[in-house]
Amino acid sequence: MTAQAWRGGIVLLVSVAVLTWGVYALNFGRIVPIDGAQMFTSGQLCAQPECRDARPVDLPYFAPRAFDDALETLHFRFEAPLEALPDGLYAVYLPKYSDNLDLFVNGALVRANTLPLRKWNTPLLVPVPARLLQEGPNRIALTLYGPKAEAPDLQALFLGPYSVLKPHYDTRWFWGPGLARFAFGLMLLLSGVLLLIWQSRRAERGYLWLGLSCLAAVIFLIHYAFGQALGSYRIWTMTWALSASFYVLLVLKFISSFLGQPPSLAERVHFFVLVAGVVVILLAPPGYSFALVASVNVLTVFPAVAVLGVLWRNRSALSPFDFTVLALCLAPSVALGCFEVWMMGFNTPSRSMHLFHIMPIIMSFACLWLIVSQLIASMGGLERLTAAQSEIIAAKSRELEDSFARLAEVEKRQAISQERDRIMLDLHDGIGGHLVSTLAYIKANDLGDATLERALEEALRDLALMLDSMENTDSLATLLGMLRTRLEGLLEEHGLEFDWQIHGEPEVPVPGPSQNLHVARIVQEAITNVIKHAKADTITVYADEARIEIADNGRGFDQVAQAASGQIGHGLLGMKRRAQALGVDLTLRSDADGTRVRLDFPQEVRRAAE
Amino acid sequence: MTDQTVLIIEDRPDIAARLTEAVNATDGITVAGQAGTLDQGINLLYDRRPRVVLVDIGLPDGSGIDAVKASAAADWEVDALVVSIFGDEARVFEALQAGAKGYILKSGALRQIGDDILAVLEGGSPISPSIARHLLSVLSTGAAPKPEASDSGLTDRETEILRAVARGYKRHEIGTQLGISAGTVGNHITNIYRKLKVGSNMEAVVQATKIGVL
Repeated sequence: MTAQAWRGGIVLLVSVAVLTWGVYALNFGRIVPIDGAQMFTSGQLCAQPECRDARPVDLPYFAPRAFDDALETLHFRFEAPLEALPDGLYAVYLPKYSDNLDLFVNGALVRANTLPLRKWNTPLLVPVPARLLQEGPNRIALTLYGPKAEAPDLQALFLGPYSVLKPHYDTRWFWGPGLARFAFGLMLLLSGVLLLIWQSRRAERGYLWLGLSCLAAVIFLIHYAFGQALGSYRIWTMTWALSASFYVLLVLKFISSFLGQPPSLAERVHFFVLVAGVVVILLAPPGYSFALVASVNVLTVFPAVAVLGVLWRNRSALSPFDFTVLALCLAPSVALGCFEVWMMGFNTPSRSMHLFHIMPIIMSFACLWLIVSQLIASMGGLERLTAAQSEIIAAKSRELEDSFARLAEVEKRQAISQERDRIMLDLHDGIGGHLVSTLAYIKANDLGDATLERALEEALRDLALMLDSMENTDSLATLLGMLRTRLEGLLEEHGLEFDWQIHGEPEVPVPGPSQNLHVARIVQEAITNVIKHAKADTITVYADEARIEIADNGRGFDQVAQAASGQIGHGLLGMKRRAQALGVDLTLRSDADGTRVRLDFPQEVRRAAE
Repeated sequence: MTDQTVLIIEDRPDIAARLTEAVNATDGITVAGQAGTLDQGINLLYDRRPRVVLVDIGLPDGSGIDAVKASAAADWEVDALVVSIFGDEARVFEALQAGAKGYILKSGALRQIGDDILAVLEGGSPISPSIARHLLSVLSTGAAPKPEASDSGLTDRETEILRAVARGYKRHEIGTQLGISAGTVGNHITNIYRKLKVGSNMEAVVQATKIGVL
């Protein structure tokens, strides 16, 4: 064991000792003189019912203990002188006696015994009619019955006006059997509820142990609350007294299972001692039953303390607050148990009130608190889980919506793509086929109309460019390559050739097939301008990520003069318009070394868009 | 040396006439026959056993692809070339998969048609930037370039060549850039076409067709 565990155990033992001493020192229910009533602390013990021989005794009186299950019968006699006849109702008040008695006032029986009920912790208030009393000496006689094995006792008694004694009687009755009956009812209810819960939640053994512990409490509380004996002296003594130890075992089992601990060796020892005790008691003479159950109960204290040690070590399974509640209930409960064992074992003359029946109330409170606390925690967990799940569901719904939207988009694109393919096929086979066929016809039959031929060729080139732009939507470089293959023949006819310099994929501000087509048309226009006007022999086409440049080594032209004479061609204007629409800078420079058309793609716009 | 024979399968008479003119204007090749339908074309193929077949895809009684397949399966050496209006990738691709050696443009200059046929005879294959780009995307799908030639994946050199073609460079320009001859570049392209035909990447082609790339 670690130092911490030792410290914890010592703290627990010390607090139990302090509390036990506290209960002893407070001496609940001590019998003190009552104003307005006579208190009898001494009397005579008679050898026979008619009291031929008597000896003086002091109260409280304890009969000698004997290992005998027979009833002891004791005859007491008290002399009560009265100065004047009372006005109202009188009463005899016995705060503590055991177990039953007959009461006589001046020879008249005012209360007959209620055997076999055992009123061992119940006060008695017997009204005495005024007519039975007389001025001067009065005699109170009582016959006390109790099992010899448990040493019947009689504590100080009172004679006085009924109204004076009644409140004292009531108070004592409330703290004794009253509270025991309350505990009895509570335990009965709890055991029913807990066992019902366990019925529907078999996996949670905690409910079973707690429910059974309440049942055990119900059994010993019958003894405390009603004094009812069920069965023979031996059987009942064994049953009620050992049920207290069973109660302890079951409560500890509940706490262990609550902390998720496997059954410990100490628990098994505890159980074994109880079973062995039962066997021994059944075999031993009935007169020893009480002494034996007391011994068994004392023996089981050791394994119970060991279980407590295990629980202490695993207290981290509880929240600090829950542990505090448990400890605050456990310590006084153990203290009450110790006090009771001590009272029963040593016939303490000065302590007259049993308090053990309060213990189950305190312990049940602690155990129920644990259950409720767990319930609250799991409800919190449930709420968090629900919240998390709602979030997941919301996220998944969004994803689903997104993917539906994407799917719709894909379908739409597919539909567009199919439609595009159909249109392209029509253009290709229909118009394209006709154009090629017509051109072939003209050439084959040598119709010789150069204008018509050129127009047809231009139409074919334009159609090819359109088709190419649609087939190469993702690469302007390839589109330029296609443009080259389309124009190669034309260049050759005019004695020109390309100096081809494509070093990268030009990045158009807004990518797309029509944007690419626009760029390609600008380039095509620039190239055809060179063919038509430049008188050059090489066309350099340069491209990288940032720009496209078309340059020739021809004669150039005077832009200013052309602008002044309004001769800037439609082609040039068209190029500028297209460039503007694309957001591309078009610059044109022309001098004696040739003409240079340059397209600059604004890189920062594209980067910002990414 | 006798001229290599060329069979023309083309339903438009004017275009057929132009193709005939182009072949006959080129030294070393001569027209061995001309068909206007697929049926007639395949009959002539086995009848004349030409060295080169020019096939139009859209024939009145079927697809020219069948003639390409018949050529690929023939027991003599015969190269099929697709006659295309624009050399557009979708149909040329289909023909390449069926075993065609390349394509020629109907609208092209007479000399270009002749040169393309001669290039095929010399072991090279006509290719366009658009087709090169497409080959790159199909043959590189899911596989990193491999240092050595394999049945389906592209070698580094082949990838290099296709990239240059896709940017519009001509065979001889690529040869100069890479320090190899134009003929070697052509051989590489023929090899690439062969990979497309036998390649295990057919699934990629199917996928590419489905998603509308082709």
